[in-house]
Amino acid sequence: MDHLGELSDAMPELVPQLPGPGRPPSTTRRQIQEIALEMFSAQGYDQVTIEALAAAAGISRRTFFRYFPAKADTLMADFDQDVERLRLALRYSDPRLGIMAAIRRAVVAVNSYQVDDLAHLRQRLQLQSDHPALLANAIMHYERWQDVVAQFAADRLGQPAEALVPQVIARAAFGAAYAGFMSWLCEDAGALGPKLDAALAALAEGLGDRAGTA
Amino acid sequence: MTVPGAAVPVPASRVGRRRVTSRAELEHIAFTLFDREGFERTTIDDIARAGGIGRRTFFRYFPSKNDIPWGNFDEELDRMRVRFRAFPPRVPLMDAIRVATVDFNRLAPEQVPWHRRRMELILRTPALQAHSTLRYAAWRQVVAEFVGQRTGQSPDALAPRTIAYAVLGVAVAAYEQWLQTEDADLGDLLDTAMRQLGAAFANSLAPAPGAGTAEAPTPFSAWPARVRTR
Repeated sequence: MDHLGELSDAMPELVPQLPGPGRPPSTTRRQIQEIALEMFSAQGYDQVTIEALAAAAGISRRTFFRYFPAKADTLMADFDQDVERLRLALRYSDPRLGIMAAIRRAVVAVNSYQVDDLAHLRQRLQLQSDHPALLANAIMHYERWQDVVAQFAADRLGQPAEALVPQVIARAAFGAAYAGFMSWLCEDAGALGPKLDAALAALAEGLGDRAGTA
Repeated sequence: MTVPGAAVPVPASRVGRRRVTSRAELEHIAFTLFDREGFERTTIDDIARAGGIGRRTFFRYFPSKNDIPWGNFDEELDRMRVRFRAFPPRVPLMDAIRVATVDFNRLAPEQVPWHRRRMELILRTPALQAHSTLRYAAWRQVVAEFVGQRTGQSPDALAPRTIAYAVLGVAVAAYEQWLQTEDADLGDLLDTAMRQLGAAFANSLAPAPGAGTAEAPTPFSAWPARVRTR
């Protein structure tokens, strides 16, 4: 298995990039994300063209499309990267762990947001609540997170990822993680990891008195 | 269930076109147009015209185009609140949520095809997502209030919020499965989905293939490995 290849897909900024024509080697998805966030907030999402974004990032329009399929996707660079890291964390998770325990551990391990990112995150969520197109796009990225978890559960259970149980697990896990994320965002303090852990624990506890009685 | 708007006086009918006289009728006309033209391209004027009514009359039935698929959701939420209040404290929390969710989605057989179209619109129309986000939040709030009450916490505390988000996710998974499976029963799917979530946490789902205990019967083994899709 091409582990390094996978890692480089997941974390493009960690591996050396081949310099391409018209593209400064240091340009990353993450930098474009930051530029986009700034430009969308200052000028309005609809006013910013891909040409303007590419120009601000010092890349061509064609190169832009190598990084992102569409303008709206620029805001989800960090999230996409977490999805890839989650996929790897689940793939290499301890097979002795139960499905939910493995998901909980992977979700907590993978989160890359720091307290420093709070201002950026708030900006992103504000833009998404102001622009239905951005929100609909974000939901598509959230679906990918859920696909990754569903695939993991499906592999463990020997079922297709679209079957009910993998989907239930994926959507419940996402719901819990999202609740933890929102609650971290509201509190303005502390680390995200423990919050996610607490949310997934709260879900397990809420379900506790029903354990095994399906 | 009351049909809001049924008692609203409607203007005299226009020449040659039968006008709709109920909210449900107008909803069905709108769904047909959405199927044919797409949700985004269909205007309120199109719907009113097809229903033989004026724009103003349309707004007596629905406050906006986005509200057509969502129907009278606030009233439904009130019913759910009442349902939650009726549970005696001895009913375990997640049982109460499961039963209330199943009840909330109980359908008369003749409503089933319309509810499928409604849920297809809600789950698969990007243009509706922003509106739906508000509705989902209202639904979660009802669940979080109940969990908060039961556990002596604020509905904004982490556990009530988490359970509300997760339960909504489970309900959406059941809805998606229902839409993909022609003859499935929505109530059964929701019930199974909620129970399987509990089983997942209790590690009582079927083990991974080759794990050596595959022969042990589990509650999960009763569930078909692949739900028939079309």
